[in-house]
Amino acid sequence: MLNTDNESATRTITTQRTNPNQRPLRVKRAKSLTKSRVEPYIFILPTVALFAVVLIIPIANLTLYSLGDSNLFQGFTGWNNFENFSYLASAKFLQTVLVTVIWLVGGVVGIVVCGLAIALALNKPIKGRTLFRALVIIPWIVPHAFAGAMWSWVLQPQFGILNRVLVTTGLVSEPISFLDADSALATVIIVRIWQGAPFMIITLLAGLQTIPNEIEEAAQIDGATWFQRLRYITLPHLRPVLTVSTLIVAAWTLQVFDTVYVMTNGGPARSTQIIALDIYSKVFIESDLGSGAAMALVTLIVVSVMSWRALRKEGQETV
Amino acid sequence: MRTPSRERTRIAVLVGRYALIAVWMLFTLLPLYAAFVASLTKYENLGKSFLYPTDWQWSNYIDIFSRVPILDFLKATLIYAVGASVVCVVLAVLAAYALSRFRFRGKRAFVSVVFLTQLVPQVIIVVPMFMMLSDVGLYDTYAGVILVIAATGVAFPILLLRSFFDGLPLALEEAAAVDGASRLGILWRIVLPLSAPGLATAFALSFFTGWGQYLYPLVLTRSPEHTPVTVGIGRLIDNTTPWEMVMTGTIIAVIPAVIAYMLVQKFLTNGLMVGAVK
Repeated sequence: MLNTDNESATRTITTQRTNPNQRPLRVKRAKSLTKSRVEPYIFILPTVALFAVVLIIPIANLTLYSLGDSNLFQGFTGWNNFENFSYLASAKFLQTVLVTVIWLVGGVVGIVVCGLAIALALNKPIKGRTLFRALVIIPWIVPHAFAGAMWSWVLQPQFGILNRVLVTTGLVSEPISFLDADSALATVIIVRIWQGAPFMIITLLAGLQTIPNEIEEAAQIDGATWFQRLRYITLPHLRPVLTVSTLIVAAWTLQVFDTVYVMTNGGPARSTQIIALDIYSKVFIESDLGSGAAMALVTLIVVSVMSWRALRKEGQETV
Repeated sequence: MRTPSRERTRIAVLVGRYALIAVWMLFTLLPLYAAFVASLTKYENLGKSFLYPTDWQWSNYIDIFSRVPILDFLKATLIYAVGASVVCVVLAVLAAYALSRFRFRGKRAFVSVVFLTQLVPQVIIVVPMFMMLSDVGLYDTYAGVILVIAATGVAFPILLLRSFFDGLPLALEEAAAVDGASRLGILWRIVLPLSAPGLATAFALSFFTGWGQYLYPLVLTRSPEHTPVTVGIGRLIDNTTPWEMVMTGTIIAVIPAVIAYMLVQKFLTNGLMVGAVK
């Protein structure tokens, strides 16, 4: 997936131009290809144009906004000596960073662990597997905002099904408020795992299917325990898929806005104020475009550097 | 007679697998089930019947149309989803074909950029886009929102279709080229018909992306007719949330996505697997 010059590139017809023993047929094809120098660029042009308009120009503008006094109506109005970046040193922002790191690590680790466990449970034939596999993916199709709404309802203190069951069965004496300052972050992370795990399960199931049965059988005959087979056969085989899927899931987790916005709006007491919410409220609630842009820019740089390093490492391993 | 220990382990593993799957299914389906029960309950009875619907208040599904402009919301959502899917699939077909069939300068850079677009948080794009769309007169239009959704959603379709095209045999295309067919002609008449499953997957993926959009339309539109159902229903949640309405609206809005998913399920799972394993 990350390897750009794979066999498909070498398979392109261009490479055959140099073939000395060309039959007339080949010559004809070669001719049509000399004309086609610009063709690939025409094919990618629409996508590049869209990226330029929707990603590159806005990010350039964002950089400008972060450098001075800016507002939502006039944009950049004048240089202000990096004043916008002072928010990044404030205690409020440090709390945002902490919350974001917990959200990211908790969400990704939870998704990987649950995804791996469920994928392993569903891998070998089991009664009802097709049905389970179809159901398992559902949270992935449910729009994030609705996931937030439905979980808010499940966890609602007075009427929510979870509290009602817990109270009725006597497991707790009074309803738990899952979204108060102490527990809200853990709660939204669990909802994130709910919606992020299906992707991990599907990709890992695909990865598991590429492991030849014979290897496992041989290991079993040799007396390897279930855990040994997992540790020395399954996990090493899964590693490429696992790494790529984890990166994708991490990127998606960092981007989540709607679930948390709908469930807690960053509260209570900023306990769930992940960075996406902080940027949004800085710009659109506090009308501080400059600081919001500064925060966005730094986030973008950190994310890019981290993913670039991760991708490069992964790229070297799969080459 | 004593069961051999290997047999016992086998049974233990099987029981463990079932237990794990059962717990996960419960976790997966709990919010959907709770939403369904609430959608069939009168507001006054919300606290009374929580395990199963007792008053079967189907009228919630009728009342919601008079209490919330849900048809307008759904229409906007459909326009965003279909619009973004069309843009994404057209761009992705072209780009993926170039990646699959040509070797060209800047190819690696292009793939890297495609990857990077997956990493840019929406909130970072939406702030400058808000101002740019205002400047060019596309604020509060379908087109503005669709372009933004497409730009951030096109990466997966490109990578997916690329692996799909890589798997197609070249012989037919070569024969057509010999017969003098143009590149676009080959793409249109030979590659695309062979790619129906790949296209369906790419379309479905883009459709789900568009159907679930929240932040872009929230910030980039203002008028009620451009409000998607995610934002419209989300706005009902406050201190006095009419939960039965919220859950009815949620069920109504989730059903099309689930149906779309069931239609392409086979292709989608395979497509995702191809994309992820490769």
